[in-house]
This record gives sequence, structure tokens and C-alpha cells, in this order.
Amino acid sequence: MEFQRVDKKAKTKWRFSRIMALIFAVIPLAALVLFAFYSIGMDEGSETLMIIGWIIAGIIVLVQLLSIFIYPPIEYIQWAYMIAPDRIEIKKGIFYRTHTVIPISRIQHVAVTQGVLQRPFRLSTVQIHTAGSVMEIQELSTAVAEDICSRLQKRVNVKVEEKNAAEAMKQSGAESEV
Amino acid sequence: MFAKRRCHFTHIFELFARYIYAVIAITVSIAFSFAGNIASNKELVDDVKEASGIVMSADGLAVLAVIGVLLLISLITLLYCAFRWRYTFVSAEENTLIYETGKFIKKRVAIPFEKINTIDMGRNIFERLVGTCRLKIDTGAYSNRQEKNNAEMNLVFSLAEADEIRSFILNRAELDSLAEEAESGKNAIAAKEPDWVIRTGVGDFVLYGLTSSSVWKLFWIVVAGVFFIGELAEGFLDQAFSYVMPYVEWTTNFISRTNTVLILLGMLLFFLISALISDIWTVIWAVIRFYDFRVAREGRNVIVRYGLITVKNYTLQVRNIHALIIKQNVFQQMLGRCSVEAVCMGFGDEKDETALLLPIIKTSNLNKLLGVILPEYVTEMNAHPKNRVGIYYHIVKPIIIWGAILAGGCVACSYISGVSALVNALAAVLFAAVIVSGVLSYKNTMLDWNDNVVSVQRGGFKKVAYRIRTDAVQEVQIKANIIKKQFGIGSYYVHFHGPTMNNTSVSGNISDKYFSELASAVED
Repeated sequence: MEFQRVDKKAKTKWRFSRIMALIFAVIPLAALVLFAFYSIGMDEGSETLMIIGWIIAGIIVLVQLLSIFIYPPIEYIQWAYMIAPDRIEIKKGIFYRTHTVIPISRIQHVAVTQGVLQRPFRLSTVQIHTAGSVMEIQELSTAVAEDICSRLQKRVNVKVEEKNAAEAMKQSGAESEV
Repeated sequence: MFAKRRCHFTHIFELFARYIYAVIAITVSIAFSFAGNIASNKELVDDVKEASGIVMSADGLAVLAVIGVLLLISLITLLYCAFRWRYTFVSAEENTLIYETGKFIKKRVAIPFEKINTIDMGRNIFERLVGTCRLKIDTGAYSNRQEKNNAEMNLVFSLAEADEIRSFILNRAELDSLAEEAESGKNAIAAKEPDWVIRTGVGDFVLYGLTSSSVWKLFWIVVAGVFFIGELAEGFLDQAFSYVMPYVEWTTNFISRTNTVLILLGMLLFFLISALISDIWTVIWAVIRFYDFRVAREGRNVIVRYGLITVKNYTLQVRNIHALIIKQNVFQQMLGRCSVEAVCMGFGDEKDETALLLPIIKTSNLNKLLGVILPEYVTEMNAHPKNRVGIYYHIVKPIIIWGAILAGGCVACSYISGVSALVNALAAVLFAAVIVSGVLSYKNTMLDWNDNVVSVQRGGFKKVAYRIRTDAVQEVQIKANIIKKQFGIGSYYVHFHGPTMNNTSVSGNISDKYFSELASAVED
């Protein structure tokens, strides 16, 4: 089994959602910071404070610009998942890399969700619920996500049946011994 | 099956006691505004005097009004509690326990016997005086994604009745080997005392108190107390300070004259005195809380009983115990002692309530005692060889970072105030603590597993070891930044099924080559 990548449209979707964040959240925040430092600097006649304001606002915008133009291709390479017969593995993260393994037998249920920003790109997220937490495989094409969902559900059923059969065998073995 | 029955009538007073704090707070706020109006309204005072014929000052009438409102609201609350008791019933059908409450807004909870996780019997001092017992039935259901619901049923019964209901549930749910005895007419649970395998003595409490006290807690209590008293009695404190100030000035002069070593000795003395006071308090608290602590294994259940004023008695099903948490603070590490808690599904409806299995035992006896009560969790911690890069992350990195911060602080203080002896002493103590914590953290970090249990251990001054049942592990994760990734180390996260949504144990800076082995081990 090999690790699979998420859908190629994921890069565009990440850029699009981050541009939205830049317009509606990051630029207003940077402007607010700049305004605050500028007003205090003007009151106190301190040019240093005004420069600090420009620097902080610039860093805020720069970080978001990096996340729009530089991170998506790296994230695309780092994001990977594998659905093996007995486990699901997910790798993700740019600076802080996470590798997660979920045994199939621990899955409680699987869900497919689609956010507002995913809809134009026909992307979806597969949510894997265990009794301990929820893991997600993001930015899959909707067809692939639904396929994974149905395949996982079948595998979970098979695993449960196998487990029940094994327990029944064990019990009958114990009874015959008695 | 048993027919509808009410709980004990003393439940009314216990309910009332629960509401009384809110009642007093509301009453006092209403009554004071009411009393203020009376006191300032001369016409009203005269009218009342005329109508009642009572000669009373405006202040006296105001006090009377406060008492009147308090009594009225208390009476209404008591009637409400009685009304709730009157319309609260418990009954049992073939496979279900039914709990009904309310007359106008009715609530009916049907709990299948097989879904009941914990049956908890507790007695506070009032319940012991009147011969009753609080019975809690808990399924461990979640109210939302993060938090567990409170116990589904939480009522007061007479002791005999509580025992009868408990034995009935155990019998129906076939939770216990005692069910067979109950069926054969022995009424086993009510009559039979379990075979207690672990009982703690006074020496254990003293040791528990001595090793689990928190000097910092005492320090903060003193600080908070000083501020609180300061608010209440500002004038008194001013006067007190006028007496104390000469000594404070002497101390300040002493600090400016003496060197770091003397100040360190002074701090040590202060620490020892604080520790002594804190220890005495914790020993008393431990004796009251854990008096006559007993643990027994009965078939598929573990039974725990303890308490002097409030007697706790809970039954945990072994299948619902998903992990054990073994805790050791720095004193307990030095003395080779530890405490053990169970992570049990459906246990605990009070904040921070934990299923304590062993308050304090010798670490060397841990596996022996677990072999009697929970043999499923017996394991020898054979740690995998540690990656030497871990030394950098556990010891060297904190030393560099904290060393730089403390040195910078000392230089800055010396530059600003010129008096640096106290600051240097503090910095030296903190720096020593950072080194000891780092060494302990490296030593305590471990990861191990076998067919039954995954063991994860971490912590410096506070060492915490999880023994998680392999089939309760839901997923395993390894996290590493790009530098750690290059050195082949990472932090292991083991998510397991517990009473809250996110139950995770973490152990950091361990070689990543064991990850696939661990993942394979938890799959089946």
C-alpha cells in the first residue's frame, strides 16, 4: 500500500480560503494594529512607535502572504494518507509533522462533510470518528471522499463481524472445555 | 422487577441544603434593598407601627423585614424540594431501570441494566446519622462532544433499600459473580462483606500527607488570605504594618548587606516552615478523606470504600476500566511511593472526581498489588533504549533557555536597583530546579507495550505513568518538528477511550523507530 495525496485542487482551495482570510480578517487586523501604534506615536510625538506599528502590521500581512503563495505546494507534498486493510495512516504538517495511525477496528463511524469554500472546488472532507477523537482527511474530491467513506464502512462491518465470530469461537471453546 | 418507589424523605433536606446557598444570596440581596427602602420611608414605618401596635425603630423593622424575606424564600424552597421528592420515583422493569421526576415538566429516564457502568454508594455525616445512603447510577453517556453527563440517577435511600436496589441491578445486569449467590436467595451483597485485599493504615496517611502536600498551594493561600484580610481590615493592617515595618527595613538592610549564600539559607528555612505547616494540614485532610481505605476484587468488579466523615463506596466494572494513572510527585519519587487512579467509563459526576484505587503504596509493590485487584494491568516497564538527542531536548535546551532568561533578569535587576543578592539567590534556586527537572524528565520518559497494555510515562517533578488497555487505544500519533524529524525523535500521543472525549497520554522525545511497532501492537 502506498500513501495517496489529496486532490490537486486543494492548493487552489487553500489559496482561495487564505485570500478570503487576508481580505476579511488579516488586513483589518493589521490596519487596527497600525492605527493603534500610529495614534499613540502621534500623541507622544514618537516616530519609533509609528515604525514599530508598520513593522508589526507588515509581519502580520507577510505571514499571511507566505501562507497563500509559498505554503500550499509544500502542504500538498506533506499531506498524505493511506487506507490499508487494517489501518488508516495520515501524515500532515509543514514545520510540525504529524503521523497518525487509526486501526480500522476502532472506527465508530465515518462522515463526509463539505464546507462553503470547498463547494466551488467540489472538494470534501472525510471525518473518521473513533471513541477517542475525530481525525480528518481534508480536500479530497467529493467522489473519492464518498468512495473512501463507503469502503471504510464496509471494512468496519467486516472487522466487527470477524471480531464477533472470534469471540463466539472463543466462548464456544471455553464451554466445550467445561 | 420492583414497583415505583420514592427515595427517603431526608432527600428533601439534602436538596434544600444544595439550594440554600443560592437562596441566602438571593434573599440577602433582595432583603437589603427592601430594608433600605423601609428604613428611608418614614411614612411606611409609621403605618406599620400604627397597624401592628409594635413600637420599633426603622432599623429594627428593616432587620425584621430581612428575616421575614429569608424565612419566606426558605419556606418556598423547602416546599419546592418536598414537591420534587413527592414526584420522583424509581422502578424497574424486565431489563430497564426507570427514573421519573416532575409533575408539570415530566422527565422519564429509562436505563437498560446492561448499560449501567458505575453504582456508587456514598454517605456523608448527615446520611450516617439518619441511616441513609446516596445511590448514584451512571452510564457514562456524553452530554456533548467534550463532557460527560452527570450521574443519571442521584438519590438518597435508606441503607437497606440502597443495598437492595444495588444488588438487584447487579443481579439483572449479570455484572457480578455475586449475582449467582443473590439468585440462590442469599441476598449476598446486602449481607456479605467483600474480601478486602488492600487496607491502608495510619502510617500510610501520614506518608501520603507528607509526600503529597504542596508548599506552593500554601504559599498562594497565604498570599490570597493576606489580600482578602487586607481588603476587609485595611485600617488594622496599616496599624500592623507600622509595627512590622522596622523588621521589614531590618530585613531589607540585611539583604543589601549579606551575600547570596545566606539568603539561600533563609529561603530554605522559609521553605521548610511552609512545608511543615502544609504537611500537617495535608495529613489531617488525608485522614479525614481516606480513612479506612479498602479495595476488593469481586468477580468482574473492583469495590473501593473509604472516608471518615463522607464514606465513599463505589463499584467499578473491570471491563469499564480503560487505563490506570500512576502518579508520583518529587517527594514520592524520592521515597519510592506512588498513587494509582483508574480511568473508568461512567465514573465521576463531580468536578475532578477520580476513581482512586490506591492512595499510596510502595512502587516496588505496585505489580504485586495490581496482580490481586487488576492482573490485566501488571507489566514491567522495560523502556526502549533512549535516543541520546533526547538529552538535548530534556536537559540542555531548558538549561540554555532558562539560563539566558535568569542571567538576563539578574543583570537587569542589578542595573536597575543595584541590590542583586535576593534576585541572584532566587535565580540560583530556579536554575537548580530547571536542571533537576530536566534530568528527571529525561529519566522518567518511557514508552513500552505488550499484548494487554500500552505504558506511557513522562514528567519531571510530577511523574505520570499511564497503563492503557490495548483495546481501549483508539489511535496513535507521533509529532515532530523538522529538526526533531532529522534526528529521528518525536512525541508519542496515545489517544484512548475514556470518560471524556479527549483522553490522551503523551511522552516526548523518543526515537521514532518504534512508532510502526506500536501502531501494529494496538491494531488487534
